[in-house]
Amino acid sequence: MMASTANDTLDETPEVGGPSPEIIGTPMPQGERIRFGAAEYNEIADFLTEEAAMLDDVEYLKWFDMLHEELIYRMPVRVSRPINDGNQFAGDMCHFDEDKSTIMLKCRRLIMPYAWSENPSSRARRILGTIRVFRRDAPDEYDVTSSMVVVRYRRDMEIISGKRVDLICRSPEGFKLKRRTILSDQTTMLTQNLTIFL
Amino acid sequence: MATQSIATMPRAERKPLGAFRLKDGSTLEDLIDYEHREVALRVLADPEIFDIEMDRIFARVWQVVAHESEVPNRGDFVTRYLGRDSVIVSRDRTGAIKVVLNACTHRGMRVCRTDAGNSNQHVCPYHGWTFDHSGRFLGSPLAAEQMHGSTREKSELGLRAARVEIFCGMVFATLDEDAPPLEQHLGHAAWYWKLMFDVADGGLEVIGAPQRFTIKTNWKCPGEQHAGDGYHVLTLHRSLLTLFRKGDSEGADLASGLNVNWNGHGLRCVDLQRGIDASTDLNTDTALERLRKRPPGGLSPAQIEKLPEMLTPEQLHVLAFHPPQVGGAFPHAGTFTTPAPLPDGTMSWKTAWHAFVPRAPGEIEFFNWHLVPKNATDKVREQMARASVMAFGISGFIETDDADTWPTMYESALGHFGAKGKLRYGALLGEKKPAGWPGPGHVHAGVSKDDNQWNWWMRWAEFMSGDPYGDKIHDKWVA
Repeated sequence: MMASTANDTLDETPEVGGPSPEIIGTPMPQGERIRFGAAEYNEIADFLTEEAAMLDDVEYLKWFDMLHEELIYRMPVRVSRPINDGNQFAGDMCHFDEDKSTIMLKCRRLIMPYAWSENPSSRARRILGTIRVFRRDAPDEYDVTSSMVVVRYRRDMEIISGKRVDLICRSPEGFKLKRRTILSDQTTMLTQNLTIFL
Repeated sequence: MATQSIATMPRAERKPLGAFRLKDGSTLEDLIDYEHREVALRVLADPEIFDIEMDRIFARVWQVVAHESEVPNRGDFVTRYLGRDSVIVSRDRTGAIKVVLNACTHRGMRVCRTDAGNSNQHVCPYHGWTFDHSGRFLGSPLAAEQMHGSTREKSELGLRAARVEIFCGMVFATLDEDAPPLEQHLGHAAWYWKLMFDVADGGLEVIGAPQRFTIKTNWKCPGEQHAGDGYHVLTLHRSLLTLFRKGDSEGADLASGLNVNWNGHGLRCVDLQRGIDASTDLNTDTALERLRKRPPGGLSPAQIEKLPEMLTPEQLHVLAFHPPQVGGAFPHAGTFTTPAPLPDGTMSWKTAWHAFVPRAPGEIEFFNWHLVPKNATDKVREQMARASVMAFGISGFIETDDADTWPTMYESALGHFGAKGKLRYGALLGEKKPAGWPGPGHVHAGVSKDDNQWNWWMRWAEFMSGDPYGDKIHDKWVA
């Protein structure tokens, strides 16, 4: 368990079985942790809630407005390895490897009637929890980790679970998602495809 | 089921297996109709047929399990599947790649329980029985007590070893000691795959690790499609034509080219003079000039200049103007060296192998190995990874549509009346080899029709007949 002191960074207290930040290219939370209930925490949690609701409701355009222009959105491939045997993520191979332009391209496709993978639309709920917010050195930037369970129905039920490591920025237009790294709990994904965003 | 099993026959007696008869009395002849070129839809869902496939196809045939770059160092291993058997693919102390059954000879426990790792020996976590990379039983704890017993010699207690051969860096294995050499299994299709996977001086390597995901479909849905179904692109992937193409042609030019098949394997050579380069000056270039302007597969300028030494002029011409880009290896692999767009619209490449590993009549595990030239620059490597993931595999805007529709073929075959339906392959081009075409195999120039997929089903039927390597097979390989 990570303690919640200002000095507590992953460099000093690695999570057992967790990813090494160097290899997956994801700076892990640093800086002061903002406690549950604090005003900034509530704002960030509200942003994540709103974002999840936009995705649940398949409101691509509204969700798109919540993304930073320099967004990096990745989901590295996970590989199970012995517990003392290094990194569990493939690093340079991903299930998702997106920026804002590729997400726009995919959203443009998904609203076409003959993008069969989402016609009819998947029904999916994104359930978030274990939200932790850290204030970065850069002003108005926050590292945010959260746990995610997505339940999706097409013909059958599919479940996706994992941890998200986000960088969220405050801008004059509201908060923007600048980086998301999705750390799946599954090595073989138990989903036929990823035509929903996580 | 009045059917002999390859698994229970002593090696010396492995003659052709007899015809099988299903519980309802059906035989292979009832499942495949050569006159109308139709296959009974029930083959996509019937558990009895699935069991026969595991015995007659996956217990025998060469299957792709890994790329050699996944186990670069001595002791590296990955766990994979041959049919539904878990196997350990490892690099031994001599540097050779070994594949052994991942089931302890003591009590059947999985000896390796992770996807990947490094180990000098395979030690079973249950009682500590220990094996070397080639499967040889080395010993077990309390050696003085001889805990492996007195009824079997140590030499009888090894993990079953598969035969292993490497082709273009891909590791193929089979647990059938009597299978012919891999070269014979691949046959004439190898000529084309070498143009896809063996033109990078220095070889290819896997980017990271394969994407793996499950699809609730029968393995034959992606299997037969990858043999050469260019036709489905026009409808199933219509969204792409809208996103990336100007104008509103019906897209017949995209389905144009040459389908090539042999022994159930199939490939599609595209006609670049009619495709994306139709209006450019590239058609007046020599083969080498063209390859310099459009280096295939992420090749560097230095690698392009090496091509004339590696290839015949005829091969160079095919690579430049009619490159094989998509295909499948019987029974369950997909092969790609194909342009893939980057977000800004410029073209990068996807070079990949797929395997559609059967787990149940209605479930596959999809393996997707993305490859890149070993000495590619960081920029090329990054671009190929991004372009590949954007277009293919679990989240790519092409293959996500396939993954949503294959399951419905399986579901149809579950229905009482659906099971009585047919898979129809009535549209053949027939053999049409253009004058001067240098490549071997059955060549079908023109719009992608059913020739390749029908060849795939004939190979399926030969394995299901129990005599896939006998005199009666339709594509006899010659050296």
